[in-house]
Amino acid sequence: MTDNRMHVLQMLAAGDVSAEEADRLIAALDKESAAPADRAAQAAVGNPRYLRIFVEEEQGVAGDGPTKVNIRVPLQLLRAGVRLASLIPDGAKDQINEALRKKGVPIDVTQLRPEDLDELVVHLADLTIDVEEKDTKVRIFAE
Amino acid sequence: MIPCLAMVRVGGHGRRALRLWLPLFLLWPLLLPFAMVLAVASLIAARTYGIAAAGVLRTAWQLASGSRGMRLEVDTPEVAFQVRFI
Repeated sequence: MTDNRMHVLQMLAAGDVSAEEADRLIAALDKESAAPADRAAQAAVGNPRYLRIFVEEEQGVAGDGPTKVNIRVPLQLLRAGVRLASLIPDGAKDQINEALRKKGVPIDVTQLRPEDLDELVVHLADLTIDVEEKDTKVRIFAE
Repeated sequence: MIPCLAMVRVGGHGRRALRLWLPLFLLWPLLLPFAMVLAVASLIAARTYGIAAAGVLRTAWQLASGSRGMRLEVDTPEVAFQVRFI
């Protein structure tokens, strides 16, 4: 039992506060003591460390049975990759953009910035991609 | 922190699995001379193309250290394969 809680109970015993007031005070103390743990849990949830990719196929490429793939990529690696992209010279970035457009990938690598990725990573905690087809299941999420 | 160990596991269903623990921490000192040469080459290339040399070296280190914790598992009817960087 904490000192504050004991103090509230002593006030109740001395008749300084009513039972209802003591109940409210204790509830407030409980909320206050739980808050740091909640914040830590929220921080852990809001800062995922890994990107997980699960692929499950009923029939593999050869069609001879189920195939499972489980990949865990540290998000730190993705961050470093984006930083690497930001080091590409501007002339080369234009060529990359052009090549990506030709392949039907409309991504502008000049817009890749590490600070944007940090924000993206925080929001990845809330994202889960589930794709279910007849023979294939894909699940992508951050943890 | 760069990965210190790599675990490779190869095994088929119904067959004995082969598990290898590779001590990468022994490999890094051996690769250090090559890393030094690569760093110098990177610095020259960075100066040639107008890229921040410190950024190149920092990013290379982050790429190496970012692979720690990576895991790849493939399980097919013929073979099960697993690689982990620890």
